[in-house]
Amino acid sequence: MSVLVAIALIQQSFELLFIPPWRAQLLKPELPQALSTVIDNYRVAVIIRLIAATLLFVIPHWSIFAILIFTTWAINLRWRGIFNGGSDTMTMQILIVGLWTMFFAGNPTLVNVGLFYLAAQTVLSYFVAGWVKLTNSEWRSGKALPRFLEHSGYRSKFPLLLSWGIIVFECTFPLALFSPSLALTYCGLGAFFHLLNAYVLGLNRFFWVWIATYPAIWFTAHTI
Amino acid sequence: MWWRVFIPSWRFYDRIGSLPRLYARAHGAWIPIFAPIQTPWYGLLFNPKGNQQLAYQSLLERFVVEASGAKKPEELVSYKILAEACASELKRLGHLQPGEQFNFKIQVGGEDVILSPFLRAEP
Repeated sequence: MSVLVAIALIQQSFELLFIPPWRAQLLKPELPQALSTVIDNYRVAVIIRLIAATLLFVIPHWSIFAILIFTTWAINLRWRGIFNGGSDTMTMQILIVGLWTMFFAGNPTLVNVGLFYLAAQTVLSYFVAGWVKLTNSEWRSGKALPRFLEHSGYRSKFPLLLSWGIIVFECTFPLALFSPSLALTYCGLGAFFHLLNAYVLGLNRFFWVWIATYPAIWFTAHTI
Repeated sequence: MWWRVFIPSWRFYDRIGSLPRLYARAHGAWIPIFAPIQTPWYGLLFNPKGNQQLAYQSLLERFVVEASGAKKPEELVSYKILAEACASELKRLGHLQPGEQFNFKIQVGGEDVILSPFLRAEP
């Protein structure tokens, strides 16, 4: 799992080096004075995170995860708390679980608790997203999807079928926890789903971050 | 805002309705600012332009929500960021020189919901 986390964070950090943020001065009125130093050192935080993520390949130690949590928080602060929505919150969940499992590496029960938690968050991420679509009549009628796609330059020939495909996939994702073969199937479908989103909606970070949670799904499915 | 990244929220694409769009002009026609772009073939690994556009789109959506409950939207941090982004984009496209004036507007569903006064571009 550390390798996948490292890849996701290297990808995010490298990309951020090429994205100029808005002026730090503009954020200061809504930030406590103590946090000003943090946003003033944004590029330092990005570079430290890039180095720490690379170190994860060779030293998956809890202290590296602690550095990654701090730098991820600092980077997001520079973007008014969050840069890219769900991909950042999931990144933080993975890092917290990484810190937990490495810190308690000698205690299998606590390691399991961490991995179960991450699996639960991943399953919830799909289920909640599916549930809000299921309860929305525009999603159920297939009218919502074309609206989200309209600015991407892509058109779906079968919006109703595709909408229901997404709803069914997301709502039934919790089944992945009940057997290793279902886990494999859902993770495979999930990877394909995120791959499409990366190209159609530009959500490339979600692909790498969600893939990094799949070992926790696999582990939980095996254990259950 | 400093704690937002610690709180998971998994309600993706739940808000139905037209997305707000940002336009700016110095003189002449309105120019779309941070309009969505096509993801390049290598975009799975490296898509800074696309992610910058998404970050500004999130800011724009957040501003529309904040502005609806604000007495003076022009005093909001998100307003100031958007104004600077418009100036910088107009300059980059060669439509604005330092010291010249520009304004911006936000459209939702093809209708103007916010129109800024003319602002002076920073030197």
